[in-house]
Amino acid sequence: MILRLLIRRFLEAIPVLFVIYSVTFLLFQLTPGSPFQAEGRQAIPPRALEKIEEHYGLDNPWYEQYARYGWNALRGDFGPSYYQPGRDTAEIIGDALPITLQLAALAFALAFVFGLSLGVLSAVKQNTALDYFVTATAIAGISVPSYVMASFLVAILAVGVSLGGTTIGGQLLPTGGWDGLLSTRVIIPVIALASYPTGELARFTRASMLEVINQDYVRTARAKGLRETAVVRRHILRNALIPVITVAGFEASFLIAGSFFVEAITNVPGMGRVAVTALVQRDHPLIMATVLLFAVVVLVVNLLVDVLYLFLDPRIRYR
Amino acid sequence: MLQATGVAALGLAAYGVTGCEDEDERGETGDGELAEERGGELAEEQTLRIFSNEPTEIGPGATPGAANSFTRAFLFNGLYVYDKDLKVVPGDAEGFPESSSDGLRHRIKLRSGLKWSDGRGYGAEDYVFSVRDVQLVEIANLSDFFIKGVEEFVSGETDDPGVLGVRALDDETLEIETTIPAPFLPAYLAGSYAWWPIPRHKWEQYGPEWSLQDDRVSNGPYVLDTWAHNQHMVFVRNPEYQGPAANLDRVEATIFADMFGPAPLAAFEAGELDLAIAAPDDIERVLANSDEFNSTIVGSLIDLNCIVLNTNKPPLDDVRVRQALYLAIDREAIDTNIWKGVNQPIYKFINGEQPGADPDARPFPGDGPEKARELLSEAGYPGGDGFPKLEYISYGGGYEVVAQAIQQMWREELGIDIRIQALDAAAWVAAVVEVDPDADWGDLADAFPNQIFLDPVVLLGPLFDGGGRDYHHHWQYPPGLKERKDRALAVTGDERHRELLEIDLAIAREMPLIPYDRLRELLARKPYIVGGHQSNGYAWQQARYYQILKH
Repeated sequence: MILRLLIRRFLEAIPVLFVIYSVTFLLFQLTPGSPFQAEGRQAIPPRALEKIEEHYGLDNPWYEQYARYGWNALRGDFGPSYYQPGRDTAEIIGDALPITLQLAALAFALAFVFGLSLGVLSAVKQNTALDYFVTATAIAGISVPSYVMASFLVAILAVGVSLGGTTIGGQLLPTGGWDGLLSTRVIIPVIALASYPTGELARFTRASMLEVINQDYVRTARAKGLRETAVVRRHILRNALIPVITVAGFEASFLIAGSFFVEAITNVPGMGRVAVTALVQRDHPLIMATVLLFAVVVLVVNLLVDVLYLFLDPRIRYR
Repeated sequence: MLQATGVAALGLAAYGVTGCEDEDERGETGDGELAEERGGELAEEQTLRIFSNEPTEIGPGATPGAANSFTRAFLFNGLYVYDKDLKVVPGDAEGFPESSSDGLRHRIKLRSGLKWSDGRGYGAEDYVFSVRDVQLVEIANLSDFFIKGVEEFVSGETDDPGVLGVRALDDETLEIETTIPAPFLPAYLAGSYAWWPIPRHKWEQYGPEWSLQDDRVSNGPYVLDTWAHNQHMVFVRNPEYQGPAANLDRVEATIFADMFGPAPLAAFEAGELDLAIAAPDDIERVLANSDEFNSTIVGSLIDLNCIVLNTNKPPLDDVRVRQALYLAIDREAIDTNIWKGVNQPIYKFINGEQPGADPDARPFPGDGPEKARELLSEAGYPGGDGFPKLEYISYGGGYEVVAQAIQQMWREELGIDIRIQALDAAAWVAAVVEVDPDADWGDLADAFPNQIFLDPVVLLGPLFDGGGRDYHHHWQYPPGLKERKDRALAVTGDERHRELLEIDLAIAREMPLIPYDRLRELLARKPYIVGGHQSNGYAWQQARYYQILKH
């Protein structure tokens, strides 16, 4: 069944990616101006611009460019970057993607562990002070956008805030950058990235748990004399996790594909920063590669979630 | 004492500084102050931490871009460079050009023993190769118009780079031919990176991507020791460098997605950088705490904000209308409210440190909105009645806000209205600059005349000649003014200054473009960084002269 699912999803992905490729290519063609004039206020001299466009094949008819580029993309060759000459798009992504994946993985792990734990606690201790505290914290995490959180953490922890002549915080952590996953530089971006999904997972887990807690089979389990931890672990959590997994999957793909602002603010050289820079510079090959990459990430994560469902809920069968 | 200490501390004796006109300069900070007068001793480690974008190229003739500019200013040296006081001094050249009696041929003697950082020698032939065969043919444009052959090449009349007026008379002598007398030639050579040499042996080995290889070489004060893409670059001293003193031992550049955004300033405040430019949203805060940020406003060499007018189209073909539009703009209000006091209001085209600049001179001294209304009425539009709604193509971003402010001013003072179309950079270039000169591109647009060296020869040349090269205003000189302008550009000394001022005012009164301010930026600098002139466009040539005090 898993194999059937994989094949079906693969076949479904083809038209999706084809449409994304075509729409993105069309936008490139329809946007006025040369992609090489996207920076600064001074025009590149005409002869220089001609040579550049010839070098990148932009002097060919649009349908030739569409076919050639699409064929190369299928083979994983997105060509050279317009703004980082001498570097292939694949090389640039190869440098940036592992960084984003590491950050996203750490942020996701934090969000999953804390979000789930807080959600479970909140549900089990429903309508207590702990429940209210967790709920309020979760709402705060959801309400504050990640880029605001990043700016806030940089201001407090790295730069310092002046209050009545006294500096609070500052120089406790670096403003950002990248020195590997074990460096203090990751603390601010990871917390900023994890804050929203933590809050959302906590809220979803709580809601899902509460729905399951009141089911008959849970009452039966308690009536049979099972310890509360066993009831939670074996009967409540496993069933409550199913919708939570859906949300977690969405959050995971968002962490990879939505780290734009946090990476820009904390100067992490990941995919988010590459994507933002590519968009501003109109680096078409890099834009196309990042758009397709993010689409693939979302498709793969959704597939993984569906596969996980098969293990979590034996009732689920995919036709 | 300090000079000897400075030399010892900086290890300059090993670098054969043969070009420095005055050895005393090596121990000095910018603005003529000595480090010791600032109350500090030089730090043992002269390492500067700066900000940058990811450079797209690091060769001399690279495409425009701030990051490209600063890397090549560290890595390369030209025939002439700007020193710490923004004076042009010999770089690879030995002394200043000897010009023929008609001022059209200029011989430049190169220093002996010039070497790339890998020890390979170079001379006049390499300069000719770099300029004629590689760089000028790629980027010949507005600023190079007076070099013999450039106009024919740019217009497509010929594809033969041999027409360019540059040749090697022998291995140490270069001859440059110009179409007009060029007393400003050293300034041009200092600012035009197309004239800075590339290593022929690397070009022949790798082609255009030579500068991206790990075994790249430099002839400037530094070599690129480390380049972690999109993360950082590290520059260290070039042992083969000959030229004006460079004080720093090492430069560490952190690469940001946006070097003019908020992240570099945050890093500066956290003590991770020694310099940062304040982003627009941070300007007020930095100005309010100027002691803490040790901030100064740095002016670009020549980077103007103007409005170009299509003088082919009524009512802009009437000079009274153009003058009215000019007089109804409150430049101080734009600078104060939009640029927060950082940009500098301007009323004509020659400004700053250029010959012919006079900050108090005005095309219409004492006149303002009242006179504007009078002129508009004389032109047949009293109170704006019957005035058509003009199209204004704006660059977008902060410039869209300026366009909206101007729209408001014209509405209130003159009773006329405009429609603003804000475009991104590439679309603006396509709509305003690259458009067919004979096509109807519109009525008004943002325009950014800039010049890469301190002389108005380009501002008063292709910007206005022939209806405008980059900005198609279609205005033509009144009889006699162009000849007077060409004569003024060719003379030297005080007479040149006086003549250029008069011509600038005469052109400004015609208003093919309306100048309104000059681009500047707010630089925050740690107090232990001293030296370097406060210029922006070539700040990184100035950064060579920074010194780090003990802190």
